[in-house]
Amino acid sequence: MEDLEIIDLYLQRSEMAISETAKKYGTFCHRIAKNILQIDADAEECVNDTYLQAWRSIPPQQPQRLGAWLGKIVRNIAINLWTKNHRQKRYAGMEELLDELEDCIPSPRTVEQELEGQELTEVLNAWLASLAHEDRILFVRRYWLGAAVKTLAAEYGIAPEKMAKRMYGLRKNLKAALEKEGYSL
Amino acid sequence: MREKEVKKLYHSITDISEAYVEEAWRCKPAAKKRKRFLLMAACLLLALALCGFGYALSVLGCGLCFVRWLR
Repeated sequence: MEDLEIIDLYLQRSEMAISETAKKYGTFCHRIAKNILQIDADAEECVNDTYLQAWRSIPPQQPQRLGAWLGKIVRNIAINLWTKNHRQKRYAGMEELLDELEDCIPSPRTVEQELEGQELTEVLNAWLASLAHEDRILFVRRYWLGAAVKTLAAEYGIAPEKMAKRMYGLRKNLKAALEKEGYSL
Repeated sequence: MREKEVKKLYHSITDISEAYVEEAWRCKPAAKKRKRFLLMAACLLLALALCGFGYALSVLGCGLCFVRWLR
């Protein structure tokens, strides 16, 4: 079913909207949550919460890109669940992602003080636009969709070490972009 | 402090343009495409081989029938 038809079902308050969403985007949402949380049951809980949130949000919202919109919701829910439980050290996936992203922080103070969330997102969007197509896809697949380095390496037919090196290069590039915006060490 | 910064960056990554997310999600990497192409080629070859085998069997069958009929 097309995205517009699914959104129409939400607008008509038809419960079929949820089953159609699950049919089309269930696996996608589950993968995002699983990549962050690494635990199937928790990922499933996040996906169910995502459907509920979608049901509550449409209307009034009418997302242009339903998949990415649902992905954003499931990602936020998964991050919140991770934050709630991370003291128990249950989630190796998110720990790994955060460890890697630490390379991109030019200075703990300046980012906190001068780059508010929205501005930072704008910088990220501009930086992503400046990247080569394949690099942009790699970055988003790794740090948005949470795909494992091993998985990406297999998909691109290169060794995991080589892929990790490429990711490191991208993080260094992002760090340089953040510094260029005036956030130096 | 550092952890807070990283989380902030992580949240900002969540909010990047949905167009980039869709692009990454829908994109099939070259290796995957190549794998699919090789799989399709292998299937096609197998189908051709099976057709050839079937054709050869039918020709052989007809040939045997013809020889028997001649005798």
